[in-house]
Amino acid sequence: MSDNHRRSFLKQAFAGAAVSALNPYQAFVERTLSSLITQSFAQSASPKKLIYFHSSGAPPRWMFDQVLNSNGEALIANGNVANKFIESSGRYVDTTYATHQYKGIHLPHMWSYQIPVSAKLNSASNITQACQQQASGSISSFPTPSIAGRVPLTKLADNFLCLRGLDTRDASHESALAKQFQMPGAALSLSGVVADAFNSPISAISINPNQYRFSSSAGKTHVELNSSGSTLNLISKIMNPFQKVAGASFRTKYALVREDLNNLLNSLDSKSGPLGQSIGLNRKYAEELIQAGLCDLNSQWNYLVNKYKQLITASFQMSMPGINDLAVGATGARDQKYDWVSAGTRIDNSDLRTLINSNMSVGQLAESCALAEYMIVNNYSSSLALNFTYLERVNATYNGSSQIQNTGLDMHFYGVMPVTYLMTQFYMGFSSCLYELISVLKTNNLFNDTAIVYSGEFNRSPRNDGSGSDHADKSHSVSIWSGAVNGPKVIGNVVNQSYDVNTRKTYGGSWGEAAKLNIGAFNNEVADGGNALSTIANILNVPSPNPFSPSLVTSQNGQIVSAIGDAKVENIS
Amino acid sequence: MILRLLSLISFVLFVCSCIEVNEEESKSVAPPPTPNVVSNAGPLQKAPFMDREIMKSHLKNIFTSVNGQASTDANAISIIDAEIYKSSNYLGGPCFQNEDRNCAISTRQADGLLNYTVSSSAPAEALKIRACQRLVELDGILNIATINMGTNISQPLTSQAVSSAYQVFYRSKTADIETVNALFTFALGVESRLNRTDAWRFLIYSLCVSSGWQVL
Repeated sequence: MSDNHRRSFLKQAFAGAAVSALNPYQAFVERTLSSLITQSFAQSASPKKLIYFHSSGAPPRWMFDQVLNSNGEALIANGNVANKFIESSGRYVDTTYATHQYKGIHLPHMWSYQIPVSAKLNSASNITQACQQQASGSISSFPTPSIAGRVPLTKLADNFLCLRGLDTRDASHESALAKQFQMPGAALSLSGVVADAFNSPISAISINPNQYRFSSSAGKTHVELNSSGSTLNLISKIMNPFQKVAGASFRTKYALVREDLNNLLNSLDSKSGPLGQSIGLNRKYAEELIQAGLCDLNSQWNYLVNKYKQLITASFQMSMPGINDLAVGATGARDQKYDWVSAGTRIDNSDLRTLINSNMSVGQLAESCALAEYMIVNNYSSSLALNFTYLERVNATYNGSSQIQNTGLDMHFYGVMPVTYLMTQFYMGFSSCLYELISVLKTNNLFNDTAIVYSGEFNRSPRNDGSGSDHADKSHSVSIWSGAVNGPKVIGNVVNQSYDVNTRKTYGGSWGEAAKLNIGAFNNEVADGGNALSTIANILNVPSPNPFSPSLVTSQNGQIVSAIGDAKVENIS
Repeated sequence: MILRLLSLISFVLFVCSCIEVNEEESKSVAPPPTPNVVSNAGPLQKAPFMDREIMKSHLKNIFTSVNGQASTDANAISIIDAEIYKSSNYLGGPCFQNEDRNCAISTRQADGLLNYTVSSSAPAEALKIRACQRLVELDGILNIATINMGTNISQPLTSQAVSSAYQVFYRSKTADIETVNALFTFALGVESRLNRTDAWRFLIYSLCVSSGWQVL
């Protein structure tokens, strides 16, 4: 944010109308933030908040955000690297890899589709404001979400950065996932350095933590919640401590002595050393939040979750030529491309489109987005790690019976036919929710101060016979959406023929394996997880938690540009 | 010379006008006074800090027992249990199986070792505020606390009584004279504005929500 923009922002923040629209807690946060902003005028850029989406299990991503040939390079085919079906006699019976060109970048075919969008709120810029309006009687009823139309998915590409060609140097789910948050031996975690850059009442949140790491230089703490498989109201669970409990008599008297009391407590805090002062800061946040009061958390949660669930459901119903406009699946004998759950077990749905039914969803995606929207819009937290890890209620027929089952994303023995169909739907759901979240952040002038990251622990190494995929520690990618990205942008070099002395026969073809870099400090080494963390930290304008690993991007006139040259697909001999 | 003088005057006026503009601009953006808080105060993670188990014991000693004898005041016990002891997710301490599936503070690290320590957070402070408010708003519970301080809620506030109150919360630490004066002045101010019971109420409340007694 430039100085002019900061001043403009602050003017807006303190303009009478704007202040009156803030609840007392938000006004408190604005005061604190503006103080920090004023103090940091000399700095080049202000830090961004972090929303980090994870799909642990490491799903295949070449149909969505793992861009393989951004410049249209010819790829060496792999029978499992697919994003579109091929027709024969009126049915889809095989797969191919296709791209959609947008702003000169070749993105996976899915980017040619449209995604559904939610209706905007009539009189408020976010649901908390609407809740307050309803509580004060200025609107008659609580809003209900609805679908308002559709937009090209490429709208999401306008702020999209694909960071590819990364080697996690680790093929274990657990340790590779931990490295997404904090490298082994590093003192600090990514969430920790973000939390340290902000004064947020709830420094960091992790939902469904799987190997989540949090380490702050300032002794800050994080909140972890397990909600997988439950309907837990996450904002209520986190914010309930801030609900008022004292009776009216106490509150009336408290209001009379509050100022003197706060002066006294400031005086006591100053005698309690750094930890006492840290506790005092948290007490001030808590007191302000309790005083401000929380608008109905159940109504807000229900609105938000239903909004995102509607989007997921609507996204499954979108027209996707090449994916769902014809019956999917061979009518005769099915081979390993139809493997399901285990090797040799075949998916028997006569039309694979029936895998999806009206009850299907993406497990915990709506809840994750709901929480992210609420926490960021209200300035309650600066760092969220959100994990959605399965397709919920898939209608699969195999081994002679039909089952409604949750399908995880560690898709070793899921053939290319069901995976291409299901994972395209999965990413349609994610894209729709992501676009809505970004839209709300933009409406509330928060997108430029936030970065959204998506990753698994690594990507997939695809078996060339189409029977499934394994752990691809050598072809990791991380996607980032930020106002600082003039997208679509692809950074990182990959090789055109994935090579591994042990696995080449199995995993031939192009699937994004990292190329060695001959620039700067890389000296013929591949970029790795440490570089990914430094790159994300660079975009967030916070210190790297892994300062010895260079960032792969730099900033030029406020925009993110590659620090390692143009993205390449290198041919290897 | 006159021309130079006029130039100088106009330059000074110009500079002043710029300063005024800047002041005006800074007035429009200057934040209201913010609390005197310290952020990023240093490496604090290893500081010993009361978890819910110790907080529960400490608060029960103050609000539910007299001279070491447990009180039968079910209200105080249920308040401390509800706001403090059952809040393992924010106030740390071990999470027992089936007790609360959401042990929100990291009580278990990836290597399987339990991490019993807990650090400060806004939700943890909110729970402490809630507990303190609910405890002191009831005169019966308030009176038990004052008895543990060697007095009762009908007795006048003295600097010695304030000092005793501090020692009860701060586990026998002696308050310096400046702290006693600040607490005493505050309590007298409340008494003049409200009444003596409320003076005790908010004196004890201020100690209850203050930051230092949780640091072990």
